[in-house]
Parts: sequence; C-alpha cells; structure tokens
Amino acid sequence: MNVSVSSRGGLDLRQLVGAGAAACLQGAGYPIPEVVLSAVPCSGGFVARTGHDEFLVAADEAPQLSAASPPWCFQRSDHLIELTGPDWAQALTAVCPHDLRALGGDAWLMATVAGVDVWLRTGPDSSGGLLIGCDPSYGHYLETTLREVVSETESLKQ
Amino acid sequence: MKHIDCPGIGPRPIVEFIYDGEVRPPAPEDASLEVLADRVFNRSGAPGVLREWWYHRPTGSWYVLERDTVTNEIQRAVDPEEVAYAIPML
Repeated sequence: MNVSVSSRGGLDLRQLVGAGAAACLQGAGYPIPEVVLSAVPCSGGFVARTGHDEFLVAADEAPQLSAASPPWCFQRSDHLIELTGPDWAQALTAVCPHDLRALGGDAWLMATVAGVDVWLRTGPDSSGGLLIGCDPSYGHYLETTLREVVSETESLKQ
Repeated sequence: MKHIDCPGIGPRPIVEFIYDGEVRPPAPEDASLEVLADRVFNRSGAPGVLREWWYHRPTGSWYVLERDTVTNEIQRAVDPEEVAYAIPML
C-alpha cells in the first residue's frame, strides 16, 4: 500500500464567526466559498465555509483579520495529519464510513474517522493526498490509529 | 449501516449523530412541581411519528427529524420555523 502518515505543521488556523465574517475575509483579500461546507484554496492553505457566517482559514502565515466583534476571530490549534500517496482513500476504508474515493480535488468534508470528528481536505489533485484536522486532544490517538491501520494493511498484503 | 439524510449535509451514517430526544414545548413558567416532575420523568412512549432532535457532531449542526417509531423510518427533516415553539430564540 502506497500511503504514508505524518504530522503536518506550518499552517495557521483561524476561525471567523459571526455576522459580517464573509465581508471581513473579503476585505482581507481572501476568497469566499459560496456554498456552505465547501472550501477554496488560498495562499498555501484554504478557506472553508463551515456555516452561513462561519469560516475556517488555514494559511501559511497568520491572516491579518480583525479580532473585533462581530465577527469574532479565534485561533485554532487543530492537530493536523497528512496522508500522502495514491492509496490514502483505501487505507481510510477501515476507519471511516464514507467512501472517500468519491472526494474530488479541492474537496472539503466534515466527518468521523476512527470515531473522532474531523475535517478532511484534499488538494487540487485528490490522488496526491489528504489533510485531516481534529481536536488536538484526540490528535495522538487518531494519528497512532492511522499509522497502525496503514501498517496492518501493508502486513496483510505481504 | 443506517444513514440519515439531512438538508445541507446529505446522507450521513448514523454514528455521526447524537440523539437528543423528542421536541417538546418549553415548560410553562408558572408550572407546579407536579407538572414539572411529570415533564422531566414521563414520556408517552406511544408508537407513532415523533419529532426528535438530532445533532450531527462533525459539522456541529442540529436537525429536527420526524421518525416513525414503529418502523424506525425517518420521514422528513423539519424546517426549524415549524418547531419555533421549542426554540426560544426563533
């Protein structure tokens, strides 16, 4: 199985919530996803629309967003896990009830993996890999589980 | 695996949801202790179509669904305006 699991750093995560969130992001030069529960790429990361007035911004540098309220801007500390290699979707079949092979490029999905609530983000080419974000308190468990799933699947194939 | 089809998120596996009970109007402010106790501890349990709260954990969304408790079939997702009586902020 051609897939590897690794921790991912270097992304600054901010959550923007409240009336005027879209205008605030636009004012800062970020693209706005039109549809709720979708994402668009931006400056090394993405902007995901997680609700009508709620956005998750992931960028390689801290976004220059006003912390005044509303909208409110919160820093997030999600644990980020990167799955790379063309077999990542097959590896996740053991721990995720969704058929992730159907995810296209630049896709966004909020789902459950190994019992943990996560967000999933593919790059422009979905075969390239997957980025997973979850509550940091579940990060070690999820990453260890994913490593073991990949390892077990590889050993079964030998 | 059983799926629940909700507006906005589509069919999702039931393991992603938390059941939060029947949709009921809030208790009257001047209710007696007997009425409050009855409300807290008793349910009719009669078979039929029930309006229920369901919480989708990954997206943090609440839904009101009508479920036939005889067949366990979810008949429809209810528009929040229809249950405004149970949501004080609406």
